[in-house]
Amino acid sequence: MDVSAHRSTTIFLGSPGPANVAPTRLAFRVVCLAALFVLELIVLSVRLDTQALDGQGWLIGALGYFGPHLLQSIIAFATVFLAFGYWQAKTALVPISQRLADIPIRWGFLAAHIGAMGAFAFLSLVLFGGTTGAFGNLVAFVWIVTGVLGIVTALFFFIPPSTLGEVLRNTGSAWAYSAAAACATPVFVVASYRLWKPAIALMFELVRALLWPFVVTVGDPVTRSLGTQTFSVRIEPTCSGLEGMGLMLVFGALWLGFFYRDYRFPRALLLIPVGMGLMFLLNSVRIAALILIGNAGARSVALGGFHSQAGWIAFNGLALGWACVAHRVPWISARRTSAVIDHRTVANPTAAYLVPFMAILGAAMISSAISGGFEWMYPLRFVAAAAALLMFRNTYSKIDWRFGWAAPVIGGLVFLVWITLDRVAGIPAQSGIAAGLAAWPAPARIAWLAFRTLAAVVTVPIAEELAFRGFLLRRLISADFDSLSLQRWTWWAVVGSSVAFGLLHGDRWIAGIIAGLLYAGAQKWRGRIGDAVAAHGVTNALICVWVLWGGHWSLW
Amino acid sequence: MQILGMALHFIGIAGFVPPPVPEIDPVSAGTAVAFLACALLVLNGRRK
Repeated sequence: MDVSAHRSTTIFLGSPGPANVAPTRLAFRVVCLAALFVLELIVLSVRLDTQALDGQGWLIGALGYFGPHLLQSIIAFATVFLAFGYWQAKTALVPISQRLADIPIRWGFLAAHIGAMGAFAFLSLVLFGGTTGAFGNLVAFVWIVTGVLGIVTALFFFIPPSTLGEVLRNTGSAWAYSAAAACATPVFVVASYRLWKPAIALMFELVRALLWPFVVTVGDPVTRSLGTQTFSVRIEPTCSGLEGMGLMLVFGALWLGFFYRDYRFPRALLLIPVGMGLMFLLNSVRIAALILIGNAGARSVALGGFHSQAGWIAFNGLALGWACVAHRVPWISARRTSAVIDHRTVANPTAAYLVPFMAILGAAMISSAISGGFEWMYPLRFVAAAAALLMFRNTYSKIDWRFGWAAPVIGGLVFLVWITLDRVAGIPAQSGIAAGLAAWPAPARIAWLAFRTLAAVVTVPIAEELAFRGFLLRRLISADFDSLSLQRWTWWAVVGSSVAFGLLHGDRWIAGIIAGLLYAGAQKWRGRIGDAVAAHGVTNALICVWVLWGGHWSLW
Repeated sequence: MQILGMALHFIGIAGFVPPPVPEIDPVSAGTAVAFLACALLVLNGRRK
């Protein structure tokens, strides 16, 4: 058999490139598989509510009751299997991953998957629409069969049965740990529901104690209403602090898993409950501060920006502090003294590319937290970014900032895409800017608009292009990103960095992804970041004109 | 479409969070997550 001829007519899924030292092809396919399942689940779940199945026959009733727990078990099994499997068989998985390049894609499995999921979607509508009549249990049975078929065919499409067999043989007892996690997870989740009520009660008392030195509190433990004579809030389950603890649990577990060589186990595991406890306490400080701000008269700030931002600021501050301290406590850290890095002599190329963007994000969180509907402190974003850019000016002096004629053309094109998609998507035109500015005197109004425009045209394009095209695009190709030419390009890196860029633009994520792709193209054109910055600056300048000329404030 | 809102919806239907599933501002969440990710990358930037 002529292998080369066979290869020429076969399409392969997986990232090509230099010889693998990690099972990248296999990892890529697992990520694709997970993305497909999550996407399908999200699309279907919008129409599915298991409560609609109550009282419709024994099998349907069981589906309604056990469905969410089954999903929890599947997620737990997949997560634990991937983690333990990779840990146990990383070396063995590399050749298995490499052999994937020689196995042709079996499109039949994809066709079968589409068919199964089509049937599954149709039966879902029938089942959850309550129109099954006397055949309810039969429909439910076929629904389960099509669902299982959908899972199996997608699995075999991305990971061929022979490869799957090899993976299972090499991952040892990972399946047993995963099965145990799958059984235990629903039990823990149900048990955790019982924590919400006492957590709210404890949070109520903590906040009351924190407020005691400052104000005379008025509270009712039954309704969970707490505050003063002029301003009070109700502590809802989502304010109980358990979500923040969950975030710290996930962050701590990922951190310790990723840097497991740097820590002494099992003692390092103590870091997780410490972080969770601190997060719970910080949440009580957040609610107490919110009440004090509202009591001081800034009701819109308390219920607006502070309410939505303070929790994130607290989590970020704690997570960063936790990560820094964890590395420096000798009782926990396993880093050798010789490995301690002298920050004065070792370069940190990442900082020059990310700190300006971080400065904008940090300033955005702070200015949003002290704003109501209108971000009056927006100039802080410009000042923070300008200061960060100034700090790394020596590094930037070595970067080629020149740009050619294509940059403004690409910038104009992105502008057209941006406003067209904004119209097509029908994004709500809500903005507090016009009303906020109208209440200000003319000089303050002009100053705010000048800073807003300067930020959009100068600091934001530089900071975002340094972060997404200069850093992330190359970092997705190599850890030693700094040594790569700006013309290096893999589809994974371009799409990954563009998707990240798009997601940061909230409702306008599609336009953001397209913009990211086009700016990456601008950079690749002559291998200069200046072209991407100029294109981005032109886009933002045109949007500024569009906003100021036509009053389209929602675009800001 | 609010990606993060949908992601939370996904978590909600998986039953990890008791109802009602909280609504979050996707831009706030995106900003915070991006800041944390950048900060951690910078903190580990000297380790290459």
